[in-house]
Amino acid sequence: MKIQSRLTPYFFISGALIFLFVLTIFPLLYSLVLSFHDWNLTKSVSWEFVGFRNYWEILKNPVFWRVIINTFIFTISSVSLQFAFGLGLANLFNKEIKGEGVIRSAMVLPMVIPSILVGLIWLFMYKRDFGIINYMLGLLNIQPIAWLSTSMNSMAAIIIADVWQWTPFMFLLLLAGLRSLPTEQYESARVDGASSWQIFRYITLPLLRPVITIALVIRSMDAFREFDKIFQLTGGGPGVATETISLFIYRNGFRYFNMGYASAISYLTLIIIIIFSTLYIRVFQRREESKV
Amino acid sequence: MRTFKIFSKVLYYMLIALVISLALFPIFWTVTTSFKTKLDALSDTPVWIFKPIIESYQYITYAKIAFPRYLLNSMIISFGAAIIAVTVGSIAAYAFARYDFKGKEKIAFWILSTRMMPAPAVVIPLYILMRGLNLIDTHLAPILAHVIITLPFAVWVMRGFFEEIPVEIEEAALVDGCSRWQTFLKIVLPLSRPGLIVTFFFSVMFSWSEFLFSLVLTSTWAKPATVANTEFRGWMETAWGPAFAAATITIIPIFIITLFLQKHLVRGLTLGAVKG
Repeated sequence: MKIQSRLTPYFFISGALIFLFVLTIFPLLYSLVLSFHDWNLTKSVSWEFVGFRNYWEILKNPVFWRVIINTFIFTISSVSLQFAFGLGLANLFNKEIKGEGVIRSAMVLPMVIPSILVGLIWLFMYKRDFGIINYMLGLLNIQPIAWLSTSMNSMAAIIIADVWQWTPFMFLLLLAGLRSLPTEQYESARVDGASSWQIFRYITLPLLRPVITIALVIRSMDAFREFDKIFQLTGGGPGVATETISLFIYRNGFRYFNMGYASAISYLTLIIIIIFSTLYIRVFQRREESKV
Repeated sequence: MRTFKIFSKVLYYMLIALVISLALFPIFWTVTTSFKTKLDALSDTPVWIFKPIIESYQYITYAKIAFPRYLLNSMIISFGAAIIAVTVGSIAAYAFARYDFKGKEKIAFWILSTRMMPAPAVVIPLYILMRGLNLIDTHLAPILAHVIITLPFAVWVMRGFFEEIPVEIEEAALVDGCSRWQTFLKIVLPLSRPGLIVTFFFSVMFSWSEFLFSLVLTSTWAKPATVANTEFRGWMETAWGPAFAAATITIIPIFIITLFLQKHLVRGLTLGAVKG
């Protein structure tokens, strides 16, 4: 009887564990083995053991490093812009407004549109000849911009589309955070004669830190593995100017069918993610400790 | 002083109007383009006033591309992934909410981390696995792949919902001689019906929007709407009207779900970490 009750929780969670084991752990182990082999899906049926050769070739490949840099440029610029705009908007909306419910429903729509369609919509708007963005810029007397044909512009283009889609996420989270703050501290700070900026800097921001951390972690993870919008907007081009890790893996695996090579890239990516997410969480934890 | 107050209020509302138009304009542009003639859609000065036509919608329903089939596929896949997530996930979530066991938080965190895993890292082995099982281009392949996204989500969000139910109710049932399993089925599940529905529709939304797994795991028969949507782009030109008609139809169900989930958006999108 006692043993049975000790095992009951494991029985309850076993279904979920089996699903996730088969769908994630097993494939990951499989691709770890595969990453030490040469296997072209279209050419041969047999795997050829090559040791660390795939890894060496990737590390020697300048495209890989370019792709890593692209991924970081995209992630850092998108997430910091979203954070800045989201924080601004949350403060802007943090008061009594008529029709707030409707306004908020409207504001969150961009982030629920499937990313692949966000890509399609922006592709249409970025078009050089008939795109609405260049037309609007023309009204402001700005020369039409070739959004998707130079390296700088296409990077800017994918970042802008991502900022449009995901700023509402930051806004929604930060607004929820602002609304849940206790009011007493504000009153006493105001009595003590603190300015609005001081109140924001020394009371609001520290209190918001947990929400900010969650928002930044979730957004960075998602931006880091972004595939859909870039696939749709630039396909990684021109050249490899906007190719991020996800597209690089996809190209090697499903365009060239080098499954071993692509698996090795996945593993290097996984290592990078683990290093950075650990650092990231550490930095945030240390900040929090030093505040206490 | 008074004019200054009115002035700043006007400025404030103008700023809000600007923000909302920035958020909504691309959506407005998508929907209107889907009702324009090709000439109007691709005009170099935007056409604001026009007579709406449904040619693009006819094109994707019975002329060239059988888009309704892809919508049906999307529905089968997303409901499948959501049903698995809610059933398997809520059973696991109950254990995390009510039991203390060795390694509990570690296992819970591991489940969460699979949600954070980059799709490209698993997409290759998953493709080979599904190919080995002869599941490529069946509905089951994307359903299972989407479970990687929806199941960890369901476990974490349902755990939060279960924790909100007072323990006393269950204790009373246990005293009355119900087993843990019976208590779960007959008391906990009915009490958390709102939470189950919210979790279900979030899962549907995630699966409906997913692209990469579906792109790799399906080709014709089981292809969902997100993948079919990319096929309006040809080498020379894109059929923008039909593409946007298809996009509009794909987005509408999600907007409806979003309205329904309004109050739970913050909670859902942070996997229960922030309760909005």
